[in-house]
Amino acid sequence: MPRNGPTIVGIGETVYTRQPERPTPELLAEAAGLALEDARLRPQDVDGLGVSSFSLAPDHAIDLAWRLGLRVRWLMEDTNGGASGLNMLQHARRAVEAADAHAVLLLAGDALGAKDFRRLTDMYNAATRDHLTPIPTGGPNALFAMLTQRHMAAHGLTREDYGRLVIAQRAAAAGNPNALYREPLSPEEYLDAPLVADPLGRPDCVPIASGADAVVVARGHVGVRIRAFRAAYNHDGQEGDGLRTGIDAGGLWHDAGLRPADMDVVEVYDDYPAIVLVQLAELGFGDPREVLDRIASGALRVNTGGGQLSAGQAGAAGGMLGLVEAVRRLRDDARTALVTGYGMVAYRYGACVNAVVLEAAKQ
Amino acid sequence: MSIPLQVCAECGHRAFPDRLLCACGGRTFSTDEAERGVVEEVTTLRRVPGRMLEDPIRVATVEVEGVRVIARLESDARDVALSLDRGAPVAR
Repeated sequence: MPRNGPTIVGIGETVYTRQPERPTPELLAEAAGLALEDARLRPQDVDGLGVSSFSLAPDHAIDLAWRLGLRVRWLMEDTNGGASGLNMLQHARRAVEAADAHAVLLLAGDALGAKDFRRLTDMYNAATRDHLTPIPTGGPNALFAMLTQRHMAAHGLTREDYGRLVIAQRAAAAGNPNALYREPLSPEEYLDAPLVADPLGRPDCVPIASGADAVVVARGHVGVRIRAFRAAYNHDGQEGDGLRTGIDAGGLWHDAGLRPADMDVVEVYDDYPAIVLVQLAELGFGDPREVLDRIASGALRVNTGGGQLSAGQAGAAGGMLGLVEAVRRLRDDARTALVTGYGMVAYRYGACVNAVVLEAAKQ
Repeated sequence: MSIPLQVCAECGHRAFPDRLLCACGGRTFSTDEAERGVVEEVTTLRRVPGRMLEDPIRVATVEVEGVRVIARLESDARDVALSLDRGAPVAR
């Protein structure tokens, strides 16, 4: 691995709020400012910008560059929601490697109220607009409820099992000042919460939030290094059961030169608990019960900031939340981290999945 | 009473909703009006963003000639008749 390769040198994150308190561009600007400050860079040092947001319209990446006062020679707008953070990272890493840009600022965030969220999910894509919204499905909860039923049947899981994950993540959120929900959740509270779409109760569905995240990718030997990256987009044409993501886990670990057991922290995209367990199984962490036992014993540190299930899903920021949290941990006590992205329901389940293995660069 | 499955003229692959091209490379399609399917999973949707539903909606995955369709379920049977109501698959 080249010593002066692309590294993540800065992170920023706004506080997440339940209601949109500021417009999307202002949230993105705050996250941008925090990340640049963290990276000790000035706006004039930035020569690449990438952004992902469902609520930036009518502005686009170039408008944001203008409004942020950034003169750039690399520009990207990503539309891949929960997979956008890592997708932008994949491209930014190569841009920095190729010297198309030296310092790339990546932003993701949304200000979404209930009405905005409904409009977004009703018009998510043509298939949704034409064949799901008229049912009505009112967003992805019913689809993931049925996916969770398939997951339960495949592995003999109960609601209590998913509760173990949600409760563990909520406990981790106590240490995350930006999270929406930081109070512990008891097994009784989990099971007694109102059902949204059986078997999913309210704690199983990401709370809609507003907020933004940012990272800076630049050449350097301090920061967080990217050891391996893999993605799978539309791997099965939406014709499977959604319990496989199609990611090339063998290739990911081969490139990383590491194994799942070597990961100090794991930040997994968590729109629903079953999706966490599906991804972890495919990435080689073991079957769901094994994973849940290891999380409970503290042997496996998953979603160390509480994940989206506690912090909230600020639209496209959901695809960067785990990356920002991983960098925090890699600057603290972790040496290695796995981060995943997932999302973009084409019809029945997420059509996008990606994963990155990170390590703390030696000082 | 049926729902239209797209059938690839090259390989016979069926799809719902329609695709632009078949994964086999096929570009010409016919329509198979499918009348019946089998319910695989059912969930009762009680809440949509921002509000509880007064009348919960039953949503099902229905297998129709090998294709999985998301439908509004208006039946307690496992074998259901399918129709399209303003774009929404309905299983009765």
